[in-house]
Amino acid sequence: MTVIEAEAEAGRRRTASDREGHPSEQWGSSGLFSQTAALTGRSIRPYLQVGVLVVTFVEPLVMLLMFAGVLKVLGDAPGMPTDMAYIDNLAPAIMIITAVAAGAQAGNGLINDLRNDVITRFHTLPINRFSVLLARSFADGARALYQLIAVAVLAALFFGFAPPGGFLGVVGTVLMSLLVGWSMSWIFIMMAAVLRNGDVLRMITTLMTFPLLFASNAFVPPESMPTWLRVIAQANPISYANDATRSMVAGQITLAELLATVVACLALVCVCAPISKRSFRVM
Amino acid sequence: MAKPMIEAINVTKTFGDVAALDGVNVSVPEGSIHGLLGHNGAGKTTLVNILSTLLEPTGGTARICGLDVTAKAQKVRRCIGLTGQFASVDEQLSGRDNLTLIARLLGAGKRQAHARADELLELFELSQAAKRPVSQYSGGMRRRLDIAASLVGSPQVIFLDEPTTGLDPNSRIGVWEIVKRLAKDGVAVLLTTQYLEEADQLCDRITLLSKGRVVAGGTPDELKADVGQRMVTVTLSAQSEVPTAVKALGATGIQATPQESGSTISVPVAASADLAAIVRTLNEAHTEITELGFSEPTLDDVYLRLTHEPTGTSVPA
Repeated sequence: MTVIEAEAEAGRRRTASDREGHPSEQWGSSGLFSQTAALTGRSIRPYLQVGVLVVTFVEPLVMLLMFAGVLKVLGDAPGMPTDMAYIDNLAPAIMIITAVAAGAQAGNGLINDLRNDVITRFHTLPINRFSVLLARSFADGARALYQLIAVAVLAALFFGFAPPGGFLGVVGTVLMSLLVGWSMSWIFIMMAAVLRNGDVLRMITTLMTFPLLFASNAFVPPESMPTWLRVIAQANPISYANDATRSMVAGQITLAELLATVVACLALVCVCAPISKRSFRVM
Repeated sequence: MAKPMIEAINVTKTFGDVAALDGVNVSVPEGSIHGLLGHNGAGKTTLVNILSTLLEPTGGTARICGLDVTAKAQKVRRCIGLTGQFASVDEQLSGRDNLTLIARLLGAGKRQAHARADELLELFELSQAAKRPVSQYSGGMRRRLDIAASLVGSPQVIFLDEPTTGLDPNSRIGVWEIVKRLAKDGVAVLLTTQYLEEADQLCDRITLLSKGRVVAGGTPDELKADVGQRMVTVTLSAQSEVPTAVKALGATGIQATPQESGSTISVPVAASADLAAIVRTLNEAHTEITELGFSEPTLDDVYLRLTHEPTGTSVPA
């Protein structure tokens, strides 16, 4: 393009819409990645207040104190692995619980956004709407990561958490719990997008998370449970997640177990994310 | 006439078996302010939501900048800005962060986004409060930020859904100034309002909606000439006198409308001589006037006139 042509082009643009220099014309276009990044930053912001940071740190501490203290007696229950300290068995389960509980928050987060009317504006912007949901899941994932690190550090400092898998085993457990929690957050995002009703969502969330977390092998071995509960606990996906993270801290995870966990998590996202995207409207 | 930037052609929208919009036509050229006037439930917000790609129309065609809102929704979103009825800004972010976020979403780089945010904050006199969270803003500030947020991408079309509802008089005038400036810069503005005065002050053209249908349209002057005469309200001593009074006035060619409750009737007057005629007629009909007052035309009067036409076009409630 010659200079004259360029000037003519610029001139045409000016006359077509001569409004305050039209700054947005120099902007590039944004893609799913940059939109998600910007929106994740927005969703994380409320979590970064000092008070919120303290509470989210204390939450896993309370859980550790409760379960490590109260349930310590159960460490001698039949069926518990005898070669591992109870805390080495408990900490991975608490990490899964922490990650899933943080993931369950994503549904409430989306409902709050919908009530806030900010989402209405996002829907009138030329952006990929899926970025709003992705950002939601990543923000609660970031919160889960913060809490998982808190569990690992607190368990190591105050409860003698020093598993055979060592530092790498603990890092692996944190990452695996994060993946489990993040993929499960899509169940709650999907329900929020479909139901769009905070009260119903909260009820279903409680109804789902309690059996998921407690009717599992998290605190006591299923062998010590009544038959009906044992069947549930053994079918519970959380039990499998606990098995995987326990193998991880023990430094005994097999490639097959690792792959099975990752594939199961991704499959869950592949089912829930498209449904969430389709149902995600503002009115 | 300049080419229309906002076009609704025979747009209908039904929710279940309720017709929220029933064959609505609106056309707004660039640099023009168009008012959608009507009560709650008249269909104003539904029309705005359709034109801003939030809802799909059941029938008819809606185009923004010549682009169909359903088929080319994503392209339409590049041309529009919406300020909804409720502030759609993030309470937990500062004013500056709200604007920066939208600029980033629209593809601006970090520095460009900050520059655009600061420019708008300056323009809307929010620079002082730029770093404070929006939750601490007053109603007027929040509304200004909300409008600023819809202008980040310099859209050619702006929708303002009841932009001044709930604002104090000062803030209201501030918003009016902003809207006028936008139109002067060539933006096509579609605003909804419940206030006749606001539509009169701001709008080049007005469309009056009632129960999803266009009941009148034109420039404010045309509308006023049509329906906006001064009214005399007459309160009679008893409700039972109302039919007698209406009949007596009707016989002399004066059309009186009973108000919804009580013993009051309203009568349009063109000249002061009419007032004498009303009083004389009511005296002769042996009805007793307890109160007599002038009132400027309100939306209610316009509504009553337009939805209770004697030809029987009234919509059953």
